[in-house]
Amino acid sequence: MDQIKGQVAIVAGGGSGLGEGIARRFANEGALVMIVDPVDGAADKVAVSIGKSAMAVCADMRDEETPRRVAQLAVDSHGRIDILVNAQFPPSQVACPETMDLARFRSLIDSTAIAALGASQAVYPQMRRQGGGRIINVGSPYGATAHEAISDAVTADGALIALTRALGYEWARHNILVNFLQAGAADIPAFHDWRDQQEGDRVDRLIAAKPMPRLADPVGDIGGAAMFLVSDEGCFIVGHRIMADGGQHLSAAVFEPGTKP
Amino acid sequence: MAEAMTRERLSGKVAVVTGGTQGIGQGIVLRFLKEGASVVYCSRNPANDAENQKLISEIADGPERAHFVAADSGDRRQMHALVDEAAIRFGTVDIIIANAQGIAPGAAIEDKPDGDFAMTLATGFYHSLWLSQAALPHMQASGGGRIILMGSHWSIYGHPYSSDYNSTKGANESLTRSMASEWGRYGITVNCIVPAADSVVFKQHRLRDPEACRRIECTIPMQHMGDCETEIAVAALGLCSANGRFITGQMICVDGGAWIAPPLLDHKPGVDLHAGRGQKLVGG
Repeated sequence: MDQIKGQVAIVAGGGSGLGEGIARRFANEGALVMIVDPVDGAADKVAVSIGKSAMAVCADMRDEETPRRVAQLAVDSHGRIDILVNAQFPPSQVACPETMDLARFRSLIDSTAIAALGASQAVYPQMRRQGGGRIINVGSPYGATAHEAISDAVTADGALIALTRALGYEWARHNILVNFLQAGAADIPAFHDWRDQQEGDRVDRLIAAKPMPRLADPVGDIGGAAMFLVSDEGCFIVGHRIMADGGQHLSAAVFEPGTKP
Repeated sequence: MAEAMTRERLSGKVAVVTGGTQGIGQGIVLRFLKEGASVVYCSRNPANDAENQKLISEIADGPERAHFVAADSGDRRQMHALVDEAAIRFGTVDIIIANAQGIAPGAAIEDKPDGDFAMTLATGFYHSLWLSQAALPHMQASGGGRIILMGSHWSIYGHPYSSDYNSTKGANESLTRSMASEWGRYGITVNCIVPAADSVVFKQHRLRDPEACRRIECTIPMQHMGDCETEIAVAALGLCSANGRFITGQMICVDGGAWIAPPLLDHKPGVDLHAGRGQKLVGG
């Protein structure tokens, strides 16, 4: 508790899923959290349930002006920005590469890698003034591997990993530490929706075959790994890909949309 | 570097740390004690423990929660005895930090004696395996545990004249994944830390050649070697505390970003980085 007391965190994509888990964990640890989410009402709902240490902004980080507006709002409201989490990651269009719609493919890159760069640029001046900060780009297991029918998500994830390495390398001298957090299959509504469309018991068998045979808890497991990266524990880790997946990356468990378990 | 906040993150936990009297191992022993753990640690020579005794006496309840054992990491029986000692003294074993490593003088691959490989593998790789095997029953009984092995940039980038050391660290990295796969079901996480530390060896090197050391540090994105306690040990702490409970099977570079580009190092054949530290050759 209170590991990041009084720090100010912007969590893009914090209105649901992994971003929501991280936002809740940060609030539990004493941070003031600004939740940004493009889905109508999503940020509001999470902020209201967290209480007075959270505020909500309904906006899309891929829009050119949004990141600067959000950063300004954080500085105006709280006087500082210590942490940025880029967890905005819309789902794949799910199609084989030969028929991927280019406009939607481009849109996913915009919503992930471009949005993460824009948000990072927007918080950079304030973090420089403060003498440092932490940035986490949140991805899925796609980027380091590949699966059927999700080449857009694989590419977006790979771009986020490379962006993390590049910004990490260049901004480390300013004590702005950029890292990538890769989540395993998590106990979030999107996963259960997907499981319901599959043969559920086969999904469950794959989970049971993971090194740590359970779903990730978005607050305890994913939020915990995020805390590892933003607290003193991660003060010498830069440009890195950290996996909060209970060893899923070592197993055959595949839970991506478009793939059959 | 600001002193890391102390927060009792390992309250009630029992840790075993090898090579715990200097450098990274010492940083981990001190940090873990400050976070509430009981720590059994070893070094080959009891004389090495003098500095720790003084530093530990400054930690509240430190002397009661710390226990030094003179042990050689290259000896299977002594590594099992070390883990047994922790379990007898403090009731169980929750955390293994396999940090010790003997280092032979630098030599080209074609000139490396088999004995150097045997010593390096025994004190580094086999010691990691023995400690982990000895700790497993305790971790199974208590429903979980944390194991941390050590890797190296020298291994990642094939640094010249230390093929025995590089191979040992590569074996540690591989063992990390195997143990994570097999033991995750027991609630045990296993990770491998790749450090860039302001170690005793690097501090000595800095005294001899400060400019060369500055050049090395400038190749690190964070522009310096990590302080053993406040920058390296804190990562081990995170992996062993609640925050790290779902992180397993990974190589974690705690190195200020040094992993991103090949490091500038200036080893030469015949240079003994551990000269005068009494490393004896032992069989595997």
